[in-house]
Amino acid sequence: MARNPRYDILFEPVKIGPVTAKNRFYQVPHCNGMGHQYPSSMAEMRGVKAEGGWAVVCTEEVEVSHISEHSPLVEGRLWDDRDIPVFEKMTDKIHQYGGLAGIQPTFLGANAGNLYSREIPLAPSLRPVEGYAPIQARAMTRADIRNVRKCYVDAALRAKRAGFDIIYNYAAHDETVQMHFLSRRHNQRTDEYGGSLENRSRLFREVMSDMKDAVGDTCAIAVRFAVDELLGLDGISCDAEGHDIIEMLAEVPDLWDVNVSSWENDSLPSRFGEMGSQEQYTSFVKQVTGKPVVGVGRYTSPDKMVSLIKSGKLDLIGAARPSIADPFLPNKIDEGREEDIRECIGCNICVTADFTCTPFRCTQNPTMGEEWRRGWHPENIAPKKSDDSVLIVGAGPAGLEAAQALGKRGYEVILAEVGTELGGRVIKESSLPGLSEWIRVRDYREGQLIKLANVEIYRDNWLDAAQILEFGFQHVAIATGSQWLSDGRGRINHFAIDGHQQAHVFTPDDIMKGAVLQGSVTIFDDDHFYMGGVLAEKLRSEGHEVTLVTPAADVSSWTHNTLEQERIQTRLLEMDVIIKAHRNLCEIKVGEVELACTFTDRRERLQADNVVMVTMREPIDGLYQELSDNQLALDTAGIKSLTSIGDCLSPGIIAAAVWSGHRYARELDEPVSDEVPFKRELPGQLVV
Amino acid sequence: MSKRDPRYDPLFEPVKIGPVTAKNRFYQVPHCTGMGWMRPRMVADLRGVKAEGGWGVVCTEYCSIHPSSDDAPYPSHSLWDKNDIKSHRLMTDKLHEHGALAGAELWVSGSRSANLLTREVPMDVASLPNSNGDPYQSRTMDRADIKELKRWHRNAALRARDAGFDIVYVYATHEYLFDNFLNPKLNTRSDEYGGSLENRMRLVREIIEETKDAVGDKCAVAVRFTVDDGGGADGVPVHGERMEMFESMAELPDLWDINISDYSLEMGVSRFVKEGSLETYMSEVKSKTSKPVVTVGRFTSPDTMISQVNRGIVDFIGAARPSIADPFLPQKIEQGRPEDIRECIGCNICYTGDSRHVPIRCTQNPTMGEEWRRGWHPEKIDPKGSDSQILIVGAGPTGLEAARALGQRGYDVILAEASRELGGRVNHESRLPGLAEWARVRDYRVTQMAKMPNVAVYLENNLALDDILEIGADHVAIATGATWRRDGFGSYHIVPMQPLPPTESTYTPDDIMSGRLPVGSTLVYDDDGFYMGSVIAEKLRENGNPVIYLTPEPKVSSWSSNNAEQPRVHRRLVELGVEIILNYGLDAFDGEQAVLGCSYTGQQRNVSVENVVMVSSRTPQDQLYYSLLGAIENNRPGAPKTVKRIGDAEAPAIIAAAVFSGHKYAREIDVEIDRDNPFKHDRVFFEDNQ
Repeated sequence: MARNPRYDILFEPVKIGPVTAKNRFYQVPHCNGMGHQYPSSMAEMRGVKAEGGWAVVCTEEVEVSHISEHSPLVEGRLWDDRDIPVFEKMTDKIHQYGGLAGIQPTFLGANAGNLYSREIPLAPSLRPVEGYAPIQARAMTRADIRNVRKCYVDAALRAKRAGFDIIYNYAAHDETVQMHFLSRRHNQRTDEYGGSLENRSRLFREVMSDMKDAVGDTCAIAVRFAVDELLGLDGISCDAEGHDIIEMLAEVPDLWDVNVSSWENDSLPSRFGEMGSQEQYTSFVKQVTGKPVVGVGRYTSPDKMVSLIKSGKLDLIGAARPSIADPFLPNKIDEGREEDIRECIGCNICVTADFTCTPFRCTQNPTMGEEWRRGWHPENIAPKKSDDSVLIVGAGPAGLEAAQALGKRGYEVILAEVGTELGGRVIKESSLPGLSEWIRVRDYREGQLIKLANVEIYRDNWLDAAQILEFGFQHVAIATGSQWLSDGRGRINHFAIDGHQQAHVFTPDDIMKGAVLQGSVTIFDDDHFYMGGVLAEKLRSEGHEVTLVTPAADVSSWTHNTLEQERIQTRLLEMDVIIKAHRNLCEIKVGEVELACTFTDRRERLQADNVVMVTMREPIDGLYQELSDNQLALDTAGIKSLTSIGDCLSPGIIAAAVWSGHRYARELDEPVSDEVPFKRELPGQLVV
Repeated sequence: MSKRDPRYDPLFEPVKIGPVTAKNRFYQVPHCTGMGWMRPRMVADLRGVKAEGGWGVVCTEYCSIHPSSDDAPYPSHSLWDKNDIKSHRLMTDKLHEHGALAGAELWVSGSRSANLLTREVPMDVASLPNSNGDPYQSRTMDRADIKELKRWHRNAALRARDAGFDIVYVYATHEYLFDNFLNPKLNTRSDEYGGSLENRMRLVREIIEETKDAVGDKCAVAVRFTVDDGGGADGVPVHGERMEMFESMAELPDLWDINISDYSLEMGVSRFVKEGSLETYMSEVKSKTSKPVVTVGRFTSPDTMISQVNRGIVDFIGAARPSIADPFLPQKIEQGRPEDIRECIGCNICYTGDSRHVPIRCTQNPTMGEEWRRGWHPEKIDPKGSDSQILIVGAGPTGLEAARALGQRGYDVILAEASRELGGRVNHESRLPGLAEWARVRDYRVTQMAKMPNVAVYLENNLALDDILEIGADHVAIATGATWRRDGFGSYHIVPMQPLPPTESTYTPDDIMSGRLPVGSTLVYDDDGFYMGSVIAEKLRENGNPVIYLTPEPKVSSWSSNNAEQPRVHRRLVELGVEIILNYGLDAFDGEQAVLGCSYTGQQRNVSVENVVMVSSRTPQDQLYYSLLGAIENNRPGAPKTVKRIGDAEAPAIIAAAVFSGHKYAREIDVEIDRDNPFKHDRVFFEDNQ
């Protein structure tokens, strides 16, 4: 199919200093939990994006020296020459597809405690390192400043040798020493590096000119700069120093990559911000500089992208998350099949990998992080290996993904759904406050399924075991999901909570189905991800007095990993939701509950007309059990395999459900073995 | 060298463990290192040094048997494939070189691990939420899963044998899968693996039998097992069914490695738990089995050890932390020099390595984790590289360690201390409630220096610049420590508070430690996040002050979650009647009212209180450093060739970092260090193992 001419502008080349991007699709630097620990995985993942049409593909933060390292977070590493081959692998793959490779060298300063190297962290002025690690950074001497500059130059030279085309001077996310020097709140120096903006920007400028001198003849020098920290007078802002700095240096770098700081504000989840939420801060930049400007905004709509270019807000469409959800986004626009784009849902599961120091995953794109180790490609999948047919029971995220991936392999598939609508849990959850974009998990898959003649969808179809045995399929996957428990069992309580059988005790499923509650509500959150907090928001906005009880220290504790926790707790506090942290729910009575302190077991009573239990889920696997208990019947029916997938196998996040469905599809007709099912990345055994 | 005290002879008797024999009773039980499969060379040398130091048995950390048990990002080891055999060989070869037995702790996780790296669905006795807080539940194992698990465990045992291990563990404790099958609360299965005691034990029993069958001819099979059900007060075991289980399996394995259900007691910090704290739990164990028994108790005293053996409590002296603080503990007893033992102080900094997924470190032993990458040995150090004289100003943990290690190298060292006693912050802090053992940081070093004629110690010598120039040392190290700030500067206030709170009613930890105590109600403002805030609160309650503990964090002593003491700290404060206010910073204080600001919304509230103790951050005492730099620049007579600030005077941190800094200084004098590349590291190479 041909590209829609409306989008031609997105495919114009853009000159960036000495290099030229083939189009306007630009994958800005983003972490991935792989970096130096899983370098082959990292390189392959970047290569797949270049293959998918991104003109520029950048690294994550790349540490330039052991004296500023981010352990335990897994970032890139360019400490010495021996780290070059890792990046050569990456740039080779990118160049193979005509992409430019960008690198973001990073000297973290007081953002990193140097837990691995045990070196003293450095900062413009004395301060504790970020977070509560018992480490203070020391104020940098002039010799330290010289050394930081040398680190950057060494990194730039190594980057050039590794084949990079674009090298960053990174001052965003409150993350590097350059940015700390720029900041009035971090920089209390009285020498030529402190005081006036000119002085505070000195290191930033020096790094830039050092890099230009070192590699600027062949490499573009890009600046990543936070024009606003959303801190008012305490920080850089786009109507004050953010603006001044861009004016001061307007034509110096070859490219401006602009965003807002900190990371929580830059990578806003869809619950707290829509596509393009940064435009109000960054759109001035193009008026101040003649150099190309890239910005991000979780852009997945080609029309929106075109309007950004035409209205003179950006030259290049920056993307981290949209390029993760769909590495082939540019090619799909180029080929006139925009409807095939797997749009980012803004759940920030990708971000969690950075904090959990493990390879990143994506709700929409189950192949993310699996490109090298399992050989999974986001668009290609092996053709079927038999003429077997497959029945999938349940059209939630797992069932939908299994059906579309098996369909693409060419299998005959029937997807049977008990409801009228496809989507399972994502239908219910996307109706909760702020989560509407999550429906894209269904929409993408439904859009793909419609095109697959070999997949049939049966709606309003409740199948029992006898029917399944009669159908004559060779493979059956049960994807019937899970349901929330109402009895309070979970992490802290291994036995049911007294009083849980009463009519005023509800589950998230009840609330999502529209249960009508009267009076005050106590939510007991022993789940700790989004559900408890989002239900509190929903019920409070409907006018209930809401108390959220949690054994954790804070609300929706796991959402620290998705960069949301602070926003969630703030929102609930501002809505006057009462928060009872460090408390277990011991007993439910009529009109009240008894709580216990998780440390001391001290008891307290709380008025509560209703209780909502957000603790754990149980698989809805009765059908699976019934079938699996009767091997003889399966054999007689000619069923070669019976498998439970997604939440029916084990309740988890939506990303895990999609992944489970995808894995099922990939592994059908593949041999089973005890071997490690993916390639490992291990330290070289013989090389020191 | 002096000879071993004959009283300790039984500690050096060989002990038979099934088909193998340990050369003595010193047994390093499995412990994590923050290294595992990611850092195989680091871990191999760490363990190898312990074998060199005389431990009869040295074990691994937890080794995953299969990708379905994946604790990432916590650094476990693995026994998944041939690569791992090669990786473990690095370690077992070193252990055997020194006559030690190598033990492998095979590990099956269950619902404690979310398998974030492998993305396998965790399996357990039931569908349980991940106990680490990750949003994944385990699935209930069916019969096919159990069969498969047994095969995986067996294959891992075979790989362990091939990797040269002498002891293979069945790890049936610490709330991992095997433990959960035993647990009547979690095991509600209705098949032959659930219900009755016998059924719940079936899996563990089968795994022990399988492991014996697979490798029992060559390797001893050890079982790590919990002998109580929890719930009792410290030291008061509630054995429940556990003794029954133990009795019925008593003769099955070749060795029992016994622990208890409360991890915060088993590996408790010295603030709450003292040496030998598991003894009451152990009293019946040995009488019920003929097999050797090992347990831990942070044993550092040979007298306690011998008494444990003589009284028949244990056969082996198990140790994790004491073997970290002093890998040469057995050898020092054997050589009749127990006074040289670097005793564990029970601070649990070692444990924070695992919590933060980085290599282990130790307050007492600065070489821990540095054996391979920097080539640091805990007992050996290069002889001096010149006849230089070195002056160290300040005898806190940094100055003491620098002087000791330089003394060991043979340098002519002057250690000058302004006060009347050695120890610096360790003196002050060890007088705070519960922290007495921390004085061991000082004691070990003072004892060592007393044996060194080349180290001169001068007390009550507050050196000024001119004094230092007069001494005319070749190298000067400034180890003058840090002082707590009074202005609230820290993580919450990243510029000093404005206006400053009134001096007369504002205190710092230094005031409290030097005896300047507030009168009346006091708010302890903890924006430091480690132990100091809570210890000061405890001290003031002892002093009779009404106390409010305030922190911008959602937890008391939030960083203490990393060393496993946080819940005990919170409980202690509540027991003492301290009022706890979380999620608020201190916005202002005028001597009567404290204004608190919510960490989330900024909303303020007032609290009436008479005094504030600021526990926020510290200022390095580095004035002398800068004056000396000036003297060097100006070529003043007597100026040293080099001056360095070390320890808290360079950058305030934990005591472990201070000791490390002093040690590093001593190691690097007269040594050429590649500043750009000062240590080796285990680096992942492309497709190296494919």
